[in-house]
Amino acid sequence: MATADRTLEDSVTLEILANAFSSVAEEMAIVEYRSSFSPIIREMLDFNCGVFDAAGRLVAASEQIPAQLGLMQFALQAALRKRGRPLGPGDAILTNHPYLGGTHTPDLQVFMPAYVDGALVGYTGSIAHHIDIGGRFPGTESAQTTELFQEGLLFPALPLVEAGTRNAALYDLVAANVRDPDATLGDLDAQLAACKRGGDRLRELCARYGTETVRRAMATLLERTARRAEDVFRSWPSRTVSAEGFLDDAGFEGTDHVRLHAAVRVREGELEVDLAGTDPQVASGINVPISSTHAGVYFAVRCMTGLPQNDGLARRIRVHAPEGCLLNPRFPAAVSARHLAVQRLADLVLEALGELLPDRAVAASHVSFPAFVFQAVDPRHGRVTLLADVLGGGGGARRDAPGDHGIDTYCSNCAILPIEIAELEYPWRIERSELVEGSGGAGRMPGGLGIRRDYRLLAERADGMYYVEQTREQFAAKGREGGGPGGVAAALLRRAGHDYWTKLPAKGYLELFRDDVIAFVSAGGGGFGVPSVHQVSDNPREVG
Amino acid sequence: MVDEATQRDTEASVRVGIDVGGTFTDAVLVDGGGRMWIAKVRSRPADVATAFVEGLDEAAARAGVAVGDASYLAHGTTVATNAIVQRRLARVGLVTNRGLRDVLEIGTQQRPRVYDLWTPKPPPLVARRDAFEIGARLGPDGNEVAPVDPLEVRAVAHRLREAGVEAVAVCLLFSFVDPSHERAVANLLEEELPNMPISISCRVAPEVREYPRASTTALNAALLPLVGRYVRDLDGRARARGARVPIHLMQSNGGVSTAALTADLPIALAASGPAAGVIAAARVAAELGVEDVISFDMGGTSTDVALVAGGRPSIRFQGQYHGHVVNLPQVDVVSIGAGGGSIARVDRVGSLSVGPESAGASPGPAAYGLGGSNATVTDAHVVLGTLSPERTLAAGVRLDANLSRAALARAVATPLGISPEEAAWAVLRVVNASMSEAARLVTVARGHDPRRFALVAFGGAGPMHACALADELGVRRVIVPPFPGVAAAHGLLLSEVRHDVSRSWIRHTASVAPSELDRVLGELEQRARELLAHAGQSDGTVAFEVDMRYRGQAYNLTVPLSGRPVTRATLEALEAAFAEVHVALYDYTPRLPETELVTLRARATAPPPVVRWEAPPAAPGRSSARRVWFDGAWREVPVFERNAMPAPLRGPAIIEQEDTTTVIPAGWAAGRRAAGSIVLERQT
Repeated sequence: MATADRTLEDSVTLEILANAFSSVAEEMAIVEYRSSFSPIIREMLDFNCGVFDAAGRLVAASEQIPAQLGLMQFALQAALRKRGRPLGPGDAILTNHPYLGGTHTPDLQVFMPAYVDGALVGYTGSIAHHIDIGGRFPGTESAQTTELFQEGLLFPALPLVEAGTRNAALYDLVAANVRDPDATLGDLDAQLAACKRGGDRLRELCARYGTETVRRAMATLLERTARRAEDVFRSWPSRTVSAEGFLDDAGFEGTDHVRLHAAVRVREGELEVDLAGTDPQVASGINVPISSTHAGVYFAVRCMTGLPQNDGLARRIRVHAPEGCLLNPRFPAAVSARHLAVQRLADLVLEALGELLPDRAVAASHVSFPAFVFQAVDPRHGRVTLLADVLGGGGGARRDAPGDHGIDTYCSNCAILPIEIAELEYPWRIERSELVEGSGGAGRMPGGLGIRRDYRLLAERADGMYYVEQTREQFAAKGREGGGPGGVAAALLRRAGHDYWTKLPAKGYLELFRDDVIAFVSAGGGGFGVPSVHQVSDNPREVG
Repeated sequence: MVDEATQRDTEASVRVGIDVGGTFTDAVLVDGGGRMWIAKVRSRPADVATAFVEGLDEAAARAGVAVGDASYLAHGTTVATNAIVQRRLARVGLVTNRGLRDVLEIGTQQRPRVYDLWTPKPPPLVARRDAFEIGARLGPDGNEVAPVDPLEVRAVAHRLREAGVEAVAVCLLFSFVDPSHERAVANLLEEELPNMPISISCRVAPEVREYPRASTTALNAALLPLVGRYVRDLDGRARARGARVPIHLMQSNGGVSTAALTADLPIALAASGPAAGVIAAARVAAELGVEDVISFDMGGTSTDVALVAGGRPSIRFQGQYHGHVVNLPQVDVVSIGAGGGSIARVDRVGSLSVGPESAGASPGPAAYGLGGSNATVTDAHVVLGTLSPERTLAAGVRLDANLSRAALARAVATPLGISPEEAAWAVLRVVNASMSEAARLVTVARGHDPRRFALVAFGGAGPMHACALADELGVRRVIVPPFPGVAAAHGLLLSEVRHDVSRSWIRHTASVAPSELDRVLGELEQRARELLAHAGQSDGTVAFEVDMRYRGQAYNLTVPLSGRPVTRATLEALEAAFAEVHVALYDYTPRLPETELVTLRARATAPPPVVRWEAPPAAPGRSSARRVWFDGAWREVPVFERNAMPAPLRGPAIIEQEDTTTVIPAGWAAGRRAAGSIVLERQT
């Protein structure tokens, strides 16, 4: 009976605490996005929050952006290794170093310990994409950096708060090096507030259930997730499946395309993802630090298994990426625009898993991800503004349903900037925001349509970086089972006083002047199944 | 000759509230003598108005009054909600600016379920071919970038007619700053399309962000024909039964309005259902002098939790209906998939979960004996003796304890190697914990400490779980209203007439001239009072609120504005109130605490007439006892009929009544209070 009692207690308490850990993470997320200052966090929700055990293992995460999925534990564990001891009561650390478990420099991660009566229960953490963290380009992020040192400030797990006292020197350093210090420091406050709320809630749980029970529940939850993952993987066929995918270029106009390759197989209850065959790292910002490589893989696996993201799932996934390849570059390779390759990676792991599990296969979604940050002085008040936006595109068709139009896909789930917010807060006018007819792949079920948005500059001058992927026909979103590929993406420019559009290089830095209009077109999704004759002929692919 | 004064007096006091739910239509009637009568009839999904009339007739017959005696008729309806869920919506044409015709399809471009590659987005409210663009355009300060071209608009009207749309929505950029373009377009369309229902965004939801505004307006347009017909039909049927007063409808904001007014703004009815119950919770508590409560409505498939602070239900200003965003005030209800019918399971690695799958009403819990074999929360209560197998539930359902026991043994006890009682107890603990998470969302996550609130428990299952939930939250007082099973219908009788109007008005607080703000608030006040007057209320009060944020933030917090005329001191008080709320919610003040006004709100209310209601006298103590499992052991526990319960009554004990069972655990004691509510207090 003793065993039965224990089983009963564990089952009930574990279920209660597992739900509670998730709601702690979600409550942290509410605090963070509602009180953030950068549009990229508050409008586009480019952030995540997590709860970790005392060893820095992820226990539960909020679910905003999968690109940051499950990777915070790499940064926290790297920070703890570097310190050689746990964080103390009242401490918080700031980290963003891509080679210490980070992603790219604008993703600032903040971690705080939760103590109860001098005993460490675990950590809470927040990762958020800041609008600018200094460096060569407005908004920091660019595909056209050539080494890490051009990518703004690096924080190799530095003390942000020590025993309740803010590290004033660090705050001063940040304020002096970023283009919009109010937003950056405001967002750091929001991150700290989120971590603090999470810590308070963990302490409440300890008060109610006992610190030891909370700790044990964390361990049991991870172990049970690992066992579930093992069950799922054992139920899958054991053959090896593989897929390849390409980036249009190596970040600069005229460079060659870059190949990604994944071989996936199940072995002894584990999922092995071998990325050998991926091209070597390149001299631009499209390399992917290893933590982000994991996030791309985790996304695909979560879709196919429905398991929660925590360290238990991570234990059953082996990612092998040869050192020095695009998906595991050597320091100090540039990584600023790593998201493009992460999206491609998620795409091809899903393609491979679709081969393994044909019932669940879907056509490819767009991974074109048009994004930019332009800096301009707003003539209405004379302040510098940084306009950022991200365009969704066509979703992949399913066996029994067409692809969705105009969605942000895979590891991203950013909201599009509302036009009225853009025009109220920035010296721009959005003249067009529409779906691109004919951009969905043909198929029994057609792919979803891409988006086109035109931005007219109302200020004297602006400059900034932009990028867009999937501008080449041969790398468009693939169809499935005879479905056709989606339409391609583009960046277009119409200079003031001209009536024609110029096609821009896919990635670049641009200077704009009053009444210039820049347009971004995202790619369409792939179709599913062989199209009828009518559909094949009805697939105009023009842009502009 | 009948004494006219007496006649008026009687009329003034016969009030009827009728709530049409998914399974039952509940009617509550309070007659001139302050007696309350209840009628329950089956709902008719295909013919809601008939269920309404049947409920009305039945209540009147039970009370021995004529329908014509009613001085007040209030109605809570899911007609708009169901139309949205079942997509029985009018075909809507959209008129918007050049380049924006896909505003509804693109939405926020976010996926509702990030890890679900298979479920398509809900189709947009307006098909692409029914969306039309015009060249007119305003800039962010209301400056005209391009004027309205009447010829172009008339041509669009022609195409709308050709397309065969049944209603039209107009949403143009920055109409919340300057409505003149939208009004000009609407006038032209009305000329060209007489009798076409038209909805314009500056009337429906004049707030910043084009997508939610367009979505709200299009959904409103899509409901205009259906809800208009329903309201006319209802009114006609009620009149045919002798009714002499207009019907008031419950809106999402927790206030009622006349049917005629809501026929123009049917989207305001979309969350009518859960709102009435929250109002009942607020009013029942207020009668006991309690102003801060958590409203806890636990039914068969879901549980609704909401916060009432200072006697007022908390309101949120944006909601989602079946994937469509709506920017209108609604009672801030958090709904979770946990109820009496929630199914308990143990998975392969020994984890116990309860819900969100529900056995529903058919086949329902195993105990119903209707063929259901799943172990549900209701079955757990039957196994533990809290629900008596001797009782007959609504619709003549009887409970079979053996079936419950077998289901729990199979689904939970055997896999975990424990007894069915322990399994049932575990199921209740898990479901209580998930409800406490929902309660935390409306309290802690909104900056309130739940421990200073009382819990008002209703719905068929609410009073069974209330004390356990209260213990989870640290709440020390629980209120069980007189008729927990018909709380929504009761709430209809207690609701104020309410109209909300708003307008986005984005300014740095520091640069606002008090006189200018006063002028804009004056316009809102006038509009709000006009609506009250249309609803037959010549006097009422208007209160103001402002959505504010720190410069650079996107999410607003709503704070009260003391009143007009606006002075410098008003603005200072506003900033102080905002700073206080911000700290309460987020624990910090930013380095540069520069605030902005975003949206101005006016709320016009007229209080409901006082409903005098007398609790039936306590009957002499008829009681019994049965074995009930509490906290690890069987105990012999006293059971009372509600009218026969002694006060105070210390737990453990059970109180039974027709529509629910109240569980009093050890450590709690019950007393009867005014207006027939039971108040349970934590003793230790």
